Amino acid sequence: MKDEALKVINDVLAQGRKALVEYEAKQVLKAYGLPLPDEKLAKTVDEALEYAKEIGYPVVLKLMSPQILHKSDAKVIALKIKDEEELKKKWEEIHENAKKYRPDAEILGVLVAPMLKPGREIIIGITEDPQFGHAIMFGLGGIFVEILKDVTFRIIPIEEKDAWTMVKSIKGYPILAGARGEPPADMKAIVDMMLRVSQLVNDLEEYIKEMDLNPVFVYNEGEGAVIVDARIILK
Amino acid sequence: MVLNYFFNPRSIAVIGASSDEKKLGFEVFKNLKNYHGNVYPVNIKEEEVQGVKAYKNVKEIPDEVDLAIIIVPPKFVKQTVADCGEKGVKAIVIITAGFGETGEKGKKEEREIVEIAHKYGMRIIGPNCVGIMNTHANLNATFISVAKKGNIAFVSQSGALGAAIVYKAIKENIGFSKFISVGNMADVDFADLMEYLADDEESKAIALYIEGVKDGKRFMEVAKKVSKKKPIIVLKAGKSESGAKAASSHTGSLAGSYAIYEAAFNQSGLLIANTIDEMLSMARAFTQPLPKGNRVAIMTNAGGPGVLTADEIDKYGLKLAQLKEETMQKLREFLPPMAAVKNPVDMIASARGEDYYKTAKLLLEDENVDLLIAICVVPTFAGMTITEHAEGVIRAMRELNNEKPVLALFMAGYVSEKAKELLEREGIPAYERPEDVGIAAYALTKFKEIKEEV
Repeated sequence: MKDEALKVINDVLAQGRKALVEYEAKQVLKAYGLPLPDEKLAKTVDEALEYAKEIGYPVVLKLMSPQILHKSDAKVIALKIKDEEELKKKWEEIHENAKKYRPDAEILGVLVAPMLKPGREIIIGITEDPQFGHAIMFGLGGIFVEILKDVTFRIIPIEEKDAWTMVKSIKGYPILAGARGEPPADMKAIVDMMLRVSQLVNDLEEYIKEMDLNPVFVYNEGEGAVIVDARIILK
Repeated sequence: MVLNYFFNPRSIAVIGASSDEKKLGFEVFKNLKNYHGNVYPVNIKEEEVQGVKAYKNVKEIPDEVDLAIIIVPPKFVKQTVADCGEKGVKAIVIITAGFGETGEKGKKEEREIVEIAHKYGMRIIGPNCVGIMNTHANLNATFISVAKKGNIAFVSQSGALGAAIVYKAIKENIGFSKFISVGNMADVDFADLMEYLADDEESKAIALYIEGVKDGKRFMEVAKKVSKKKPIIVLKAGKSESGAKAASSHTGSLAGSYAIYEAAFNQSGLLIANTIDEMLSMARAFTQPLPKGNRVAIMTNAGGPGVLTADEIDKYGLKLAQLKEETMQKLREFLPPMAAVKNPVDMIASARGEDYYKTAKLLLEDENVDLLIAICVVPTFAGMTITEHAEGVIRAMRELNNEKPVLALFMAGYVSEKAKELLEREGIPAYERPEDVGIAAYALTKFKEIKEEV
């Protein structure tokens, strides 16, 4: 686990970078068994077409560049691509947008991903405190984190009971537990993700500074969760 | 344990003791005169300090010295610490300010002083502090008035605030076992003190006023252990400090320093107070046994305080006990028809000491009750004495002695003073406001949970 993740990290460091692009961050997460979409990095449009066929339309394209960390600002994400023709068109479009946004943008490839079924959105994050070391954050995504700041922290490493306390201690917990006739969300999957992130950061504490898994889609009980976007900042 | 030399020294040297009332060394030496061990003044210029033979240097004292209190100007501190080392002193309190708090140069000096101390196996509290007290040993090595003797060990990172709380506590009849002003924490820190206080029989609870900890990992490690044995209540300053530090991630920008402290406190089993009153209200509850569960019975002679207290209880997730039918039956037998026998039991204003006795006894006997809150707006009418209600509660508790905690809310300002004194003497914490007794009940139940958590 650690070795695979370290390989990705060392490659990024060797390039003189501190911020992992989404694809790299997800490789690190994958090494620790975190749930990710079935997606692939295409270097050429032909590769993209091939992967899209494997995955099945509609698909998503996300351009990966170390110079572009805010992908929606740069308009380098294309959603709901329904066929080959549209894919070719969008491929060109996001490349042009990338150039407009950052003419010097180095392009590592384009992530071809399935359109995910929406779920309840959560965020899991990592920050480093000078006194206590790394802390893990949990909260509901969207306005809950942006406006209400309904989040909770624990110092790494955490135990299973800490993870459960975190899940239950946010104000928005009823949304996960199942409000207004909705079935409960897969909270076991959330706890499992938090424990894996805790272990990952504990193993790699001398490398990792900050991390955001945002958003993560959590599905109904027993149906798991999937990390939609991820970012890792190194020390 | 070395720290014991701070609190139970056989002999003390006050270095910088003075006869000049304008100097801190005057107050410190005066305060220590009552100590049962030998106390020696050290003053480079004087032959005598406050009528006691003084020594020019700690090394000249013809006796062993366990504890040295240093109040000399900053530039002499380092040499003084070295002299203490040669003398064989075990523990040092440096009251003198002007070190780490002044900047890098001061920090360096502070480190050098600690190095010297450690070379001789000495430990240091301070510098830049008010000093320390052990009320159970009549030790007041500070320049402030002594705290009331009690069961709370209070550790304060702010000297002045510490003094303010000591004085406030005297007024509110709250006692401290130890008061430790840790100052810059150049050596002895919160973790060391928690470790020491865990085994201190006179301290039933530990209250910490924290501005910042130095070694977060060790703090948590020690707190986790100690909080299983003894309740630790923490008040942290600096909640409003925003997380506006340079952060490239979402998480980083949301992580204010308090959010992280709060996380660390929660994980370490500490009880978090948001105000000074909350800290004291929680800490003083621990003269009572721990409840078996979270079901609270409330008895009162006035509706309002009963409801306000019930609201507080609910806020902390405690439950109003469902009284047994048998209990309510028995209450009906002697309470007037207008009384409410359902929890909260409202005995109405006519309730006398005898009613308090009978009601408290029935409620404590009810197996659905884990904790009792006895409320009284002490009456000044109908020929009642101002202490009979308190006496009723005490009598019931003594007779039953069934290890169920009792908290009192006697809210009648100066009228309830005497009653509260009686209750406190029995170890029943007597509060003045519903929010205080509410958080006290929470602290008892929460600590019980923390203790039992695996």
